[in-house]
Amino acid sequence: MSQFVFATGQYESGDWDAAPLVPANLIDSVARYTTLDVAPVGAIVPLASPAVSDYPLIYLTGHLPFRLTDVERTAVRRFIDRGGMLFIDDHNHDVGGIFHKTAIEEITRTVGRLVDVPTTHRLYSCFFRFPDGPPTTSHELNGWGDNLVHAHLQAVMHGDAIQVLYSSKDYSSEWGYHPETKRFNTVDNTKFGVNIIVYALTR
Amino acid sequence: MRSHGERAASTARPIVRADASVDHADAADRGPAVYGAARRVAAARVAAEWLLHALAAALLIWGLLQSVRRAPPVRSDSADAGTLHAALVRWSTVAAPTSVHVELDSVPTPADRDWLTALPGAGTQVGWDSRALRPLALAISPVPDPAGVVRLRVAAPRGTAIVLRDAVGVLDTVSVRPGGSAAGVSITVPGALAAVSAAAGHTTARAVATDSLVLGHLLVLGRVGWESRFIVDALEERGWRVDARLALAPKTDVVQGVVGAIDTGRYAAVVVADSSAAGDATRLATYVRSGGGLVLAGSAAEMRAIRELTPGAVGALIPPGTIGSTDSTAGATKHHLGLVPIVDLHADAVPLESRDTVVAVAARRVGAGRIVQTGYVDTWRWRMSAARGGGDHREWWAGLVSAVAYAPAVARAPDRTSDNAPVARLIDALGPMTAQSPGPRPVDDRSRRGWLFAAIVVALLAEWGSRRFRGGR
Repeated sequence: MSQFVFATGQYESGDWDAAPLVPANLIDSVARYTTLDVAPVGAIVPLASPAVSDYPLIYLTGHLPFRLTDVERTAVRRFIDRGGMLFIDDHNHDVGGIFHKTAIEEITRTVGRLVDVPTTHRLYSCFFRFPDGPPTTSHELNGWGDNLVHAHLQAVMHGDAIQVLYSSKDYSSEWGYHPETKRFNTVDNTKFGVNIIVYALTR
Repeated sequence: MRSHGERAASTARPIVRADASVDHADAADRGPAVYGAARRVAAARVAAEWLLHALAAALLIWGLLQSVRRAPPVRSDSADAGTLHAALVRWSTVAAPTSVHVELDSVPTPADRDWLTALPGAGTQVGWDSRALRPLALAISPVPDPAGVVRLRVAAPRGTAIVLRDAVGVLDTVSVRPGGSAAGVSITVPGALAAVSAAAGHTTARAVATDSLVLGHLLVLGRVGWESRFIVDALEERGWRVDARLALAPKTDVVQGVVGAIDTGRYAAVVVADSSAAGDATRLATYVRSGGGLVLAGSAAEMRAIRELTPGAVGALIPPGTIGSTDSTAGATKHHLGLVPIVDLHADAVPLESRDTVVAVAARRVGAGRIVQTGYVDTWRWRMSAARGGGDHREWWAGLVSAVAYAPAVARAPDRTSDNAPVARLIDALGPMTAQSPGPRPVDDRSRRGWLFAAIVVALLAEWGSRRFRGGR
């Protein structure tokens, strides 16, 4: 059985590589809390590449306008249709920002309409339990970005299953540190990242 | 004539014969006793002559009556498939032929066939013949699959082309291979079909599903991973109710549904995605022996407690071909997947799929249950990169499960319109084909007339001869 490989999606517009430490941090957490056979190094996969089919969970982030080319759009539709899942995080934490606006538009155009994910969804209980929904980030609490605490994540759903998970909470900043630093945290804030991976693997 | 005195004088002579040729005068000459006997003989002779005369007259009258009487109802009739129904009505209500012969160029309806079968009971012998009918048999049976798949089995002579239809239209056209070892074809068709017909030339067989199956849940055991996730997805998309217990961390499993006791009362089949279910291996062995179905993927066959039940041992991994990165345009197939070949097949194991020279999928019966072992690794890659989407992956997994699933049948009410082996039933009802009518041959009138004429001539000659010999006119 193959290893789980955490994949970061590369798209032609914007700064797809804005959070280079997130993959290593989440891989560390997955290895720390679970017995999943996880690859120690993540992968970077161009969205237009057929290789996206090797990574059924792809993480996307950025600050800049999020636009997909026609080839990327076709590949994403095909990826979603076969059972893949996208996790897109707004690195600006700003619902008025350019990434948020363009990403919402592109997701709606390519896959479908985003809706709020209820706090009772299995995403919040499939491994660690988050009864209040998505954990808040330090950026939300410190008034950065749009100065809002977002109570819900959004998603394109197929029935109860999440196809595209969209976050305005800027987890890319929250998890963007070296894994060794984790030992200084009172609470490991990457646990929700583990939940996203476990959900994608079991939804 | 002699005088009375001469008769009296002759009475002293001994009587040496007393036949009809004795003359009255001689008798009178021989005395009163001889004369009485001679008279009795003569009277009997005259009576016999009258009897012969009367017999000849009676035979003549009978022959005359026979010649003018209407022909008797002893006759044969025939019909073909197009005129059979009208002929049956005629034979049953207007005329009752002694024998009928039916030339069939298509299969009669069950009602007409039963009608033909009943004719001998009314005194009409039935013969039939056909150069157009082909032996054909059709069976329809449900497959344990929530998509309502049925398996159609058709038996026909080798080389026969068969058109399968349901109420909507043509399902498929199949042919029995001319050089094949089996004189039949088996196909599976999705969709709950109530009735299917198979046509070969002028012969049409019709079958109706007589059973429905009770499908339990499926249980998927394994580790959290893409393989287990996409197995669950494929089976749920197919319509199965899937429970799952997937190992994620020490003492932590991800559970879907309610995972109960592993028995045939709840689970139609168990899919084991890897060897992480070793703790359940003994229960799985018991489950299979009691009739359950087990699908072992990849390393699952290495679990010690069920190793002796598996169709074969797990061989060395054959690395996957290039999938996705360079082959995505055409779409990957399962032949691009990594494979742990099934080696050292058990004597009663049956290989189901092979790749090149190695066995990829094999099955085996164990007790009342069945086990399918597949050597393909990471079949989820097939789903993610296939040109046709997840359909092939879903159907393949559904096929593996339905091959082993425990599904008790519930009989439906019998359907009397079913005619799944029409030619065989025709032979069963009417007997084998006959070249001509098996009814009794009509009496030869020429022969009868000859015997009648001979009898009259003999009677008249006898009467005439007797009369002339005794001196009569």
